[in-house]
Amino acid sequence: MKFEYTIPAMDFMAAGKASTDMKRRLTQLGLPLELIKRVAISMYEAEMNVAIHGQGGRAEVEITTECITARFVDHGPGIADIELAMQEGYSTASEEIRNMGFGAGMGLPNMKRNSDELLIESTLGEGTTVTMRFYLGRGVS
Amino acid sequence: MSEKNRFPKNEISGTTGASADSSVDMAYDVSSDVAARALHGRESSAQSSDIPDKPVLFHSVQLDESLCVGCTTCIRFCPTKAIRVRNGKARISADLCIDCGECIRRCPKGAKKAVSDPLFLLDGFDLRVALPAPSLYGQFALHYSHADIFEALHHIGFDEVFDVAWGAVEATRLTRTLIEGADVFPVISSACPVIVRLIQQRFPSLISNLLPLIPPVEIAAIEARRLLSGFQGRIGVFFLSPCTAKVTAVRWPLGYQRSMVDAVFSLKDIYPSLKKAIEALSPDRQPSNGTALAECQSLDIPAHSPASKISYSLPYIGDLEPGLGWARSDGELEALRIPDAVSVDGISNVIDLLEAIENGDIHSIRYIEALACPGGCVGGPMAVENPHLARSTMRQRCEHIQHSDLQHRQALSPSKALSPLQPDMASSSTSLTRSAAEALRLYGWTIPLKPKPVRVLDQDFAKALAMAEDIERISALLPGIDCGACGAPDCQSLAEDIVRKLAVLEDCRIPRICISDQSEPREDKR
Repeated sequence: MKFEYTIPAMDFMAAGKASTDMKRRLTQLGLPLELIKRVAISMYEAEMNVAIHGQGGRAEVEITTECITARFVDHGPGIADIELAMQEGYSTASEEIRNMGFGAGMGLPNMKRNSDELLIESTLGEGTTVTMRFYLGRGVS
Repeated sequence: MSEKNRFPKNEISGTTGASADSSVDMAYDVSSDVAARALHGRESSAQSSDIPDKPVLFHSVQLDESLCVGCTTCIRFCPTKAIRVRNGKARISADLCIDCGECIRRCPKGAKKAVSDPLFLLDGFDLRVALPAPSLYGQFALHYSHADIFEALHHIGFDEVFDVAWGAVEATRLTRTLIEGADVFPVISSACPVIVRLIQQRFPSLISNLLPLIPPVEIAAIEARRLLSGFQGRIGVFFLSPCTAKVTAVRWPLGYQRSMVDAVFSLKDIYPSLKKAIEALSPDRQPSNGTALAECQSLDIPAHSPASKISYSLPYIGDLEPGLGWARSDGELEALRIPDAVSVDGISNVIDLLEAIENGDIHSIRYIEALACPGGCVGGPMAVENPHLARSTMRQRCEHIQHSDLQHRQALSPSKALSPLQPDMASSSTSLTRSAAEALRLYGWTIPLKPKPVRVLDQDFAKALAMAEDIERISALLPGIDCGACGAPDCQSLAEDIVRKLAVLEDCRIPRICISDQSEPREDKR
């Protein structure tokens, strides 16, 4: 089944809604807590990225009996150097954003750590699509 | 004054409490269970902690059906969405209710009740020990001292008084130790039973963040029993509390095998007689003199009067101030005095913060004091005084705890304490000779808290997924305005209820669903 969420730009109160909603749904499905936690953290980081860097966008989450796929699409400036962006502590967030407690450069590394697969597609000036996959693992088929 | 306001031993009955008229449609008789425990050596009480899936059969928060008009106000405010209106009456799900009392606050008809233990239970014991919650002291104006209230408790029939604040002081010390040794942060306080149940049910991934410590009242109960262990006879330990969830927690403890408290009396129930006793005992402190003194003569002091029988006296312990602060939000943190700690009160605020923790958005916070009631325990559903006033009273009491107060209390004590406790806890909170490690063996959780996610659609994942798809399909048919007219708190909940076969699509009163989906077989009924 599929879910879609819109993520408004720079709205830090709204960012996190997709993650929170998904958490509730996955709990209802009886998935392991450890997996739910990983999905929630990854989705939250991705939402913040779309809100802060991507000028808003949308999230699509698909759940099958095998895996959860979360795709975040924005039409922001794009990432110039994905390898650099993946480094812990690297961030292009403005001083203002950092002062608000975001932009510590941990977003992408956190997403990589918590997801089973992470794919970043980005074109400068066009936007970024981040796709994360979480396998449900054994015992849940 | 009505007889209700008295507290003589043979007329004691639950006033706001376990009233016989409240329609309790549960297979559980409150008073008889407590009485049974009281009379049969406490072994008969049902415990659920070791059997995680056993449903909680008793809830302090109950509905008085005769007053419920089915208005649907309560359903929107219930943080666990435990209430549905069916056939014009609210129904509280025993599985989902965490006894927060939010519906008691919100119900415009007063149809939601806090059921506590009836006061007649005092009769079953030879020695009655009161454990006043710190918030009790916030129910009375500042010109009545801690000592006045203490003394009044003796006069209304308690032989011994042992402050729960003492348990809070001890809990504070152990909390520091536990935080130092913790490997999961933020550590979340487990003092509020509503929050513990909320986490167990809605935020199970945060169970490992909960402080594995029994609450201050249980610490106080254990200590009181230990100090009085030389007494030959039945000792009854009674918690005087503003908290509905504590009434439930004493029956279904969280994290420990069984409660050392025999019964929980509501502050509302004991307030009238306590107030009279205080006024009578300290007429000089009355702003307007006269009436209180007159009532003093008519106040029946129970035959079981303390002066005649105290031979074992609990010590009046010195500096309880940090423990008394626990009555209000921030109090726990002020006692702890550790950096990077946060206090949050009001259940919806707590939920927001817990969501943020689960999202990994809370960094560098080591400890969270989370209290379900607005303003902390003084805002409890069974408190009497306005929570804002009580909060302010508590703050001032703690700031100005006079030395004379302490001396007065010591002078009150007719016999010397038997315990090794020192009168001054301020100099060392470990005046108990126990080490922290030793105390933790006594007061730490003994039963790991199990997750209780009650909303799993089906144990079989494929089936659950199919049901989730049905929920989405039905949800799309509903108007999405969350009007509550169907009896569910929002459209999403109605969709879930329909898929769980607890409701039907026709329960939605908004007409446009009738033309929305041809595939719905029921639609042609309209």
